[in-house]
Amino acid sequence: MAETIDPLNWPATPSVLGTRVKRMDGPEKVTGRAKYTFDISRPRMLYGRIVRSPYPHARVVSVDLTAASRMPGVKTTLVWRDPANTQNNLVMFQGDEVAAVAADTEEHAIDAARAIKVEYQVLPHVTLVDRALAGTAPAVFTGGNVRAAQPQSTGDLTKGFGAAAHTIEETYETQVITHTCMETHGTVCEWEGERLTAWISTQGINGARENFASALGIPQANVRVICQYMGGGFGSKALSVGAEGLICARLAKAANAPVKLMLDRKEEHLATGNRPSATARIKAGVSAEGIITAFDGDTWGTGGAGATAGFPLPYIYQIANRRRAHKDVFTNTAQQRPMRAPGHPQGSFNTEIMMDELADKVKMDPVEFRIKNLPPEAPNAMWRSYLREGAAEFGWDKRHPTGDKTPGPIKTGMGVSIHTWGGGGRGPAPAHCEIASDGGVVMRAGTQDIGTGTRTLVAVITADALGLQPTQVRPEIGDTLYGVSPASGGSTTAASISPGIRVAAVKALDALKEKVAPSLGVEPAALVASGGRIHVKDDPSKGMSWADACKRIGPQSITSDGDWRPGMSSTTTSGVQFAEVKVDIETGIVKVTRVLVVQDCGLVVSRLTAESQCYGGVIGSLNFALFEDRILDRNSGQMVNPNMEWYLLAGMSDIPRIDVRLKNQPERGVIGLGEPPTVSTAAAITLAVRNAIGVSVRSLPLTPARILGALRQGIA
Amino acid sequence: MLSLTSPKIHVGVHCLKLRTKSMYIHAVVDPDEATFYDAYDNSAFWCVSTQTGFGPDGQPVRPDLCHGERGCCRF
Repeated sequence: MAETIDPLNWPATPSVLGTRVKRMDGPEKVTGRAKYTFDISRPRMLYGRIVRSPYPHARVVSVDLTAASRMPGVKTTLVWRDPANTQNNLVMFQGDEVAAVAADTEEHAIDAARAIKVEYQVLPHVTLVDRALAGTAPAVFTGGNVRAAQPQSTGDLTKGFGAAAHTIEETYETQVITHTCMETHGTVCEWEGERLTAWISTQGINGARENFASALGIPQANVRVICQYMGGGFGSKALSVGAEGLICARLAKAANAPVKLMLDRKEEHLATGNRPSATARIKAGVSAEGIITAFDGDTWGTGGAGATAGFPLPYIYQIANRRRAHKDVFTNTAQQRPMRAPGHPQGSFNTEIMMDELADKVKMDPVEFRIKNLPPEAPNAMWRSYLREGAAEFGWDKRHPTGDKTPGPIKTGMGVSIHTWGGGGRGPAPAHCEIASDGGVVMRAGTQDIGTGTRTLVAVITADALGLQPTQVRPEIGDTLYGVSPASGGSTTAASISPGIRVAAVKALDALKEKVAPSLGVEPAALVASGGRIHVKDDPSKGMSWADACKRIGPQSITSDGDWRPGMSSTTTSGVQFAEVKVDIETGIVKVTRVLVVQDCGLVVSRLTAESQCYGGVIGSLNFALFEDRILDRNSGQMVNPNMEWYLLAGMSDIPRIDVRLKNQPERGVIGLGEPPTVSTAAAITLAVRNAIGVSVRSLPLTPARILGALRQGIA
Repeated sequence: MLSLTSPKIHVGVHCLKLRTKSMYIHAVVDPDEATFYDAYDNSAFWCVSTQTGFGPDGQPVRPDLCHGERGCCRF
């Protein structure tokens, strides 16, 4: 019996899916017409400003708003941390919110915030992880500064180490980094009676609506959230609306005027989340044949004040005998917020550096050593194939053994690493399609574009189903009036919304075929849409243009709805990255010269935007490897680099050549791609440095001082 | 001792004001994930009343801290 083809499912021969379509919003962005929250301006709008604690731990003794209230242009003030409330007058990190003000200009708001007098009782703080672990830090957190998790154990460690021909014992470490969104967190709030409209830089407009409503005690139906364009979100904008969002709404209510409250760069570093640190003290054993026989790890990290800091370890490789004990270390710093593949970059780094050190013990090539220790190959576990393909393309056979022996100070090296990420997605994620008699097509969904190209994805899927070009589709997203949809996080947006868009478009086309079929004297089922025409499937000459077909719709547009369906999306991606570096062993400066990305994401919907995800992921991870570091003063506990001058990020000249090889797996349906490509670049770069200079650097970032230090230790 | 796996928030057990990312994002768990790495916990939590990771009483919020003992808990 012939297999039934579900017309709602992804097409076997797509016309637009998987092609390189330019971003729909490109012209809007480059001409400045795109309106980010930062660009929103409302009549009578005021500007909000928050007063924050300069201390990592203190009690607010008094807040005097008198002088600020008398400042020019000040309309309202607010106390966030009430000194009289003994339950809630503590600040727990530098940057914790204390008070706020709204004034008629940004300058007046800044001046007034300076005039708010706050008296603090400074309390002992804990910001140094090593002191917290040693028990020598002040006791700050109820239940202790350290929280131990249940140790995990599999197999027989004694037996595993007994089977080892070689062992290593090393400590690996990654640093705390901040999200550093180009558009800072912020909101514009406008009330009309008990109804709130909020423009917010968010990864989840519907989540923001629920958070505003619940926090303010108003019905969700009274809240409209808009985010048409968003200037960077790596997880920190996927959670609450933040204290700044709630403060903005309250200032606007109190002032009876719209208020705009965008954080400045210092606030962004201090108070909007971070990636936790991750340290792993590992003992591992490897057999003479290159099989890892045992892994014994003690790990810890800090996610800030009372927050978790877990990460996967060992990462991906199969080790039958293993033990791991993890501790969350609580410090008086801002709490972590999920950052692009939470936990995975840390787990990848701490595992992959160990892998090359073990490979050297048994004198095996790192690619072959990895293949020996991988799980079996499967559609969600393609590392073996990708390692071999990538090695061939990258020129891995030209890689020298550990340590570049060529004369001179510039040493070159290559490194490799692998990663995985779940992603996936599901509903509800409804989409609504309209086809008008003038030929116009609108696809509407309550999702948001966090800079990843969601508008383009909406247009590509719709155009593919209707036989049109993406430019003929108007995607409408970024407004809670368009319906419910999940937040964008965990690489789930594409997998969640794509099926509903496809279903809505196909149903709309079916309705159009009903209108057109009588004119052509055929049954609707005999018609197809392709190349901007509706025509008989077996006789393309018998048909009409899209415009002529739509004239038969009449004044009432065709409308249809779709939602996520099982089988049209999937979960778990595999990826491999290769990196090449040049290291100046006299200055310690690392230059990444090449990165190769081999990555799958299920069905490739929009090839150009998918490749962009890979470029962005690599660049983000390069920053993690070479530059980013939240540095705290050892005594005061204050961040010493909360700016864009000393909190380093890559410039244009730091970006290497990046080659992307996307592996299409259409049979798996759509899987997200936002996070996977950012997981393993840092490890690949670090291993390339190791290959170049001949010694391991076991902590990030790879600063010149750290490179030179490792060289000195290696020589010693 | 706590489980390394991310605790879920249950109505009737945990405070109704406790929030975490997975309540807003519909990821699908791959059963094979357990073969790639052991469970770990790095979930971020927040209180919907304060919109921060601290409750109205100024203390951090997490499932193990928000199940009835605090005066601010709501069920």
